[in-house]
Amino acid sequence: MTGGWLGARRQRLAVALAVVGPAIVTANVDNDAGGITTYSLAGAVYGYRMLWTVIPTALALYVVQEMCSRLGVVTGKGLADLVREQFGVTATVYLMLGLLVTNLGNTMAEFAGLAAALEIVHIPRLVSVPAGAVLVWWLVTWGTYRSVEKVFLVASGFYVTYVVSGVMARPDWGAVLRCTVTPSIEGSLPFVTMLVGLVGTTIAPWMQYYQQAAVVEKGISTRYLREARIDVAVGSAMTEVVAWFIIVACAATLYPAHVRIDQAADAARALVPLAGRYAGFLFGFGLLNASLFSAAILPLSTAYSVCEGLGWERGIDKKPREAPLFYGIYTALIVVGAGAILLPGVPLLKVLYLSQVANGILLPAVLVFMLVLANRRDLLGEHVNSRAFNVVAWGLVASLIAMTLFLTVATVFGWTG
Amino acid sequence: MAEVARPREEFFFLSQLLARRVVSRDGEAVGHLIDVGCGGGETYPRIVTYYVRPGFLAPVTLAVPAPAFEAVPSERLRLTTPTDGLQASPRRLPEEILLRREILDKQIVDTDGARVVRVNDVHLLRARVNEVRVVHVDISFAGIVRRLGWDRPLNALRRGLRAGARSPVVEHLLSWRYVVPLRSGSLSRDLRLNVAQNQLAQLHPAELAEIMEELDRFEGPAMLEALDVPKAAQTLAELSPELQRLLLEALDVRRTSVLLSTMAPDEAADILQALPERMRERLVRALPAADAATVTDLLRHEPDSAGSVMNPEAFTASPGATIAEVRDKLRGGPEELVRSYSVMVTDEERRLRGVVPLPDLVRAADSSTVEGLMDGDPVSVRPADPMADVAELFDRFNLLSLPVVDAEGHLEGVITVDDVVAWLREDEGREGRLT
Repeated sequence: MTGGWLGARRQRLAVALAVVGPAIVTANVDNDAGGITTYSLAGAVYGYRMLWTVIPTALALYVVQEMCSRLGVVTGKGLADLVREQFGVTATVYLMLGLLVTNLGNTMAEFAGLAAALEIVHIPRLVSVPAGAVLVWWLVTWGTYRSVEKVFLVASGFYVTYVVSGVMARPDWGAVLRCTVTPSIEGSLPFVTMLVGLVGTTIAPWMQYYQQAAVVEKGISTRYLREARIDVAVGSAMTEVVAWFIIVACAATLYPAHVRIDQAADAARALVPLAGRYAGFLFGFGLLNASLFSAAILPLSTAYSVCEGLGWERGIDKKPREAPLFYGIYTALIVVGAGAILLPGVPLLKVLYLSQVANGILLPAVLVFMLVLANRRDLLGEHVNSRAFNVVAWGLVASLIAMTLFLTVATVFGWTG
Repeated sequence: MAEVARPREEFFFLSQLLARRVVSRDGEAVGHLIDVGCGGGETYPRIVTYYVRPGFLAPVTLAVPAPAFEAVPSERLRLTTPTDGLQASPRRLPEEILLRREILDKQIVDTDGARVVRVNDVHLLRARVNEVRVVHVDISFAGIVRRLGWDRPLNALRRGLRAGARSPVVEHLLSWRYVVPLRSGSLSRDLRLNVAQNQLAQLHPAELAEIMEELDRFEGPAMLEALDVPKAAQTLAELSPELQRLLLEALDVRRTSVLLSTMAPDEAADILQALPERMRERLVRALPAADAATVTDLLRHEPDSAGSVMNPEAFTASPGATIAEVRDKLRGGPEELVRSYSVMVTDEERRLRGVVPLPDLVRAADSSTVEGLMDGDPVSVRPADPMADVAELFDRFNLLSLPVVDAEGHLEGVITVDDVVAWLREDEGREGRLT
């Protein structure tokens, strides 16, 4: 045996690498086209004033994702599976319908982000969207889970472009740090809507399904619960660090220049004259990467969860012939999601809006189911939520539900402008 | 009584029974039906207990032995026994299966299709007046549709569209005789699969391995425990390296060492090779000394070399032996050795002198000697030779087996065609489909 301090160290690192992944991939898919748009808007409209939200949001993200990671590790079952077995078929079917609608909307948003990012370099969407759709479809259909996860982990690394963009924007670091630790609140409706939007884009229902399924697929055993927690903590921190840098980049450049933007690609374009060509391109490249990454994961996660809940053959390690419904749902989501961006007649905004509403109904349900499951001693044994954790978690879930309901109502009445 | 009109036999579903109101003989509310227990051991087991919860938040469950009700199924289940005789917090019968808790919405093994499926409903038969038996499980989408209450609107729609049209959702019932419950979903689990009615033993190890890939971290080991040792060892050898690792982690060391020493040493070495170093060392230490030595010997060889794949045990004979003697030895020897497809002819120092393929052995006369029959100049490889070359030799010479010898010509082991096929398949997997 190699033994000794170095040996033990290496062993530990090997274990960490074997366990790491699910939460980091999830957390990075979280910073998708919709997320980047929201962060850019927050920075462009309110400057550094929204920066403080990243710390509480990271905490909330950790609490929610840690629960599903733990559920996956201890029970060895996915969330859809657990809901089906513990709450029955009715709850499952309606949750799955909700998930299908929300994630179809999200997939459209990803392809819209992809199209916008490549239009910066004058590639028309008639080329970029079909090419992107084929690329993600092929990657997942012909890859094994391990290889796909590796590609995704590498893609996660590309988020560093936002850090570079943020630094290149030459922000006033003193003001940035001050705003990060001092909460700033305003009673106005647009401000509150933006605040809720920032949290809402970070904690989405598909994430719990995806992460738990990935944890189960990796077969992480209860012994590595600690490493799995580190995975979640790193993932949550990464999401918010990226969010923080995007807000900083836009706040340092677009806010003082009073540039109005509608979507993330506008921010990339606007950055060119203000922070230099490379900052703008890096920002655009980040958006491209995020859109592609999420356009691959979202349909995959949806198809997997639906099939898991309803008991159909599933998994990318299966051939299409063995799991026709799984590949059918996956392909349909990509085809419809990409097609909606290309067809001129499709009311994209209406669809995104519907998907936001579905999201608002779905998230509270998923979170409540999860909390109930995480307190079931017959499922988790000694790993149930501790009392302190429960106080934090229920408080958080209550405020998340309130926020999501507010956002949904705001969307329905068009307050978000 | 209205009951007269009821048919003698009637099929119905568990979902038509669960959550129905239970009333006393006088019609007073008692509670709701929450679960149904059936006995084990029979092909189509009888329902033995009905479980009633007095109120939504009631801490106790009442157990009512069958036949409990005047009529089943019914929207209102009227008890036939006095209410005050009902037992609270009952103990389950030892073999009893709870249909709601352990079957409905859970995954089961379908031994007919050799796959894992989810149960959408349970199909029951009221055979005599009050004898209810479990006959099928519903694994189709129709079961989900029915439980959601969508079947009536769908049927109405169908009738509206076209009279006599076929139902759009097809029923698929699986006979209970093919069902192996997995009984998981809780930590306080008794995950023993029911070995008495164990259909699993009928399946091929490759099929069992495929099923195993579908099971979760608790069901997999439970299934492996339920199989007898040779079957479990063969199944384990068929699994993917990742699943092998997970299962070996979950099983206790004693069981693991029994399984590993039951396998051919090369298969055991393959499994151990893929494990993390520390776990491998622990498992090798737990093996019986002789097996541990053989396996350690195999593990010494480079991965993907002939030495790492070969089986160090071979069926050998001396040149002077008669065919009759060899045949006798073959009949008495262990089965794995016969699967090397040929007799290795070695001298006293275990130097390879020749090879006799089994078909030649069958056709030869009893009195002839091995030396007269053998191929005195057989194709052979060294332990360090790469498997890619070995595979090429198998292809070129249409081999079933190939001896592995050291520099001085001593027999080290035998590679058989199944080893080569397994290696090729694995190699394909390593390359990955992404490239």
